[in-house]
Amino acid sequence: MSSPLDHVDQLSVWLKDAGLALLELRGPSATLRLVNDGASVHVVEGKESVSADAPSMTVRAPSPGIFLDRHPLHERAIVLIDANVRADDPLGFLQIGPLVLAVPAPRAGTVTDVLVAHGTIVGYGASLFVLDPLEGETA
Amino acid sequence: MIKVLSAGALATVQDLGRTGGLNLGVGVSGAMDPLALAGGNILLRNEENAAAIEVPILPFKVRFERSTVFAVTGADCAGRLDEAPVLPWWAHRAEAGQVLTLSLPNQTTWRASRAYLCVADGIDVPAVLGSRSTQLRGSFGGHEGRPLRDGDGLPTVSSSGRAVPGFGLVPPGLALPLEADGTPGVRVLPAAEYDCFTKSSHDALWSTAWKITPQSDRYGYRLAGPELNPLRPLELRSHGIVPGVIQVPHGGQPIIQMRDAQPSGGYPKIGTVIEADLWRLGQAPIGSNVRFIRCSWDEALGAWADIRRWLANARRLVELHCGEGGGR
Repeated sequence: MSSPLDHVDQLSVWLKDAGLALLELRGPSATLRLVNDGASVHVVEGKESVSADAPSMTVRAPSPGIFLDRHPLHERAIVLIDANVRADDPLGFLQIGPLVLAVPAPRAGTVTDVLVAHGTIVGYGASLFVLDPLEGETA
Repeated sequence: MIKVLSAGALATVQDLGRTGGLNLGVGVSGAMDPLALAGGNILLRNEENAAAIEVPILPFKVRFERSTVFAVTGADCAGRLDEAPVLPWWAHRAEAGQVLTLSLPNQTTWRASRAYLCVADGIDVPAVLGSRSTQLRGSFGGHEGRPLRDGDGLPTVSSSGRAVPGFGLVPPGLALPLEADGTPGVRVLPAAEYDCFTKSSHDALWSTAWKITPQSDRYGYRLAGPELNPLRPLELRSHGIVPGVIQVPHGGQPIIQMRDAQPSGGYPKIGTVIEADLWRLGQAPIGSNVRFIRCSWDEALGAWADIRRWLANARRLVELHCGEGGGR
């Protein structure tokens, strides 16, 4: 069986055509991450850093959908910049038809940036928030 | 079990209604907003007809005596589980001993007045004549045939474990809006005595923003607006009527029969709110206005098909989400 690493070019084309922001393949010996930033698709080495001493982390879309910064019945964003959040608190939502999914905080911290506007269609893995993890808190 | 700590007033156990008994004089009862009830049951992966608590007057407070998954649908009542905010139209987990408080409805994005507290596997009151709905007129069904009181304990069945917390549905009030000149509307079919009313009454029926008066409840909504007058005085024998029928008594101020309507009446009927739009009326607050939008039989059936399609699509997506290792 061939390795996905031999097909990066083809995978990159598919990623771009589908408008997906991230492809992540994990195997026992290797991890492949392809990131589509809109202009080009490039390989990112290694695993995404989630170490406790990382200054900030990116919260990505757990599903494709329409990004909502507030619940459909609410008038204000559920999380504002500089807000402190606990692990699993919803930072925003993804709407798929009548379904609404949460974008949960992967860990406690401070939201320092919202990267996508309310109502934007996003792909799986799109960067949505920047979170400064709270010191001493583990995922 | 769910313990009622603060019942407000007129909170009742309701399912989708007690059908098939009108010929015996048994009214349908059931949720004033059946779409909110069905939506809550879809969120929790319950049967569509599982019973829930209809809460028309807030605040309302309950304690979960054992852990479960619940959803508050209908109006957004700024719910709190202990201190944590509760999202509307969202499946939440409650641990044993946690207290859910519902406050006054927030009506800025959707003008709704009734909340539904739905729990995994439904409120397990005994079915009477095929339904768990509270029949207030006959004092049977639901919880002891009456509105809830402080201290009541409502039985819940041992959870099937199908419900998954952590996701929600877009309320159909946002997905299926209906207005006429900026006023919330409901579609109406002309009824048997429509032609017995004057031309100006016909014009007023379709052009007035009718005010829902404080004399409005689960039995019927009394409206205020211009007087509707028959061409000649009408005397009718009592005949069968259903929720949605718009009667015009002497005085010319219409009454819309609602879920607890008696099954017969003798006032002339100028129109009937279509079944597919009764949920809109069920959510309309007292003091608000409503417009009647004339529709055809085919349009009424089409509206019903739209509702069924919305529910089927919601059910399909919820099952897809929960089936694929959901609950992320």
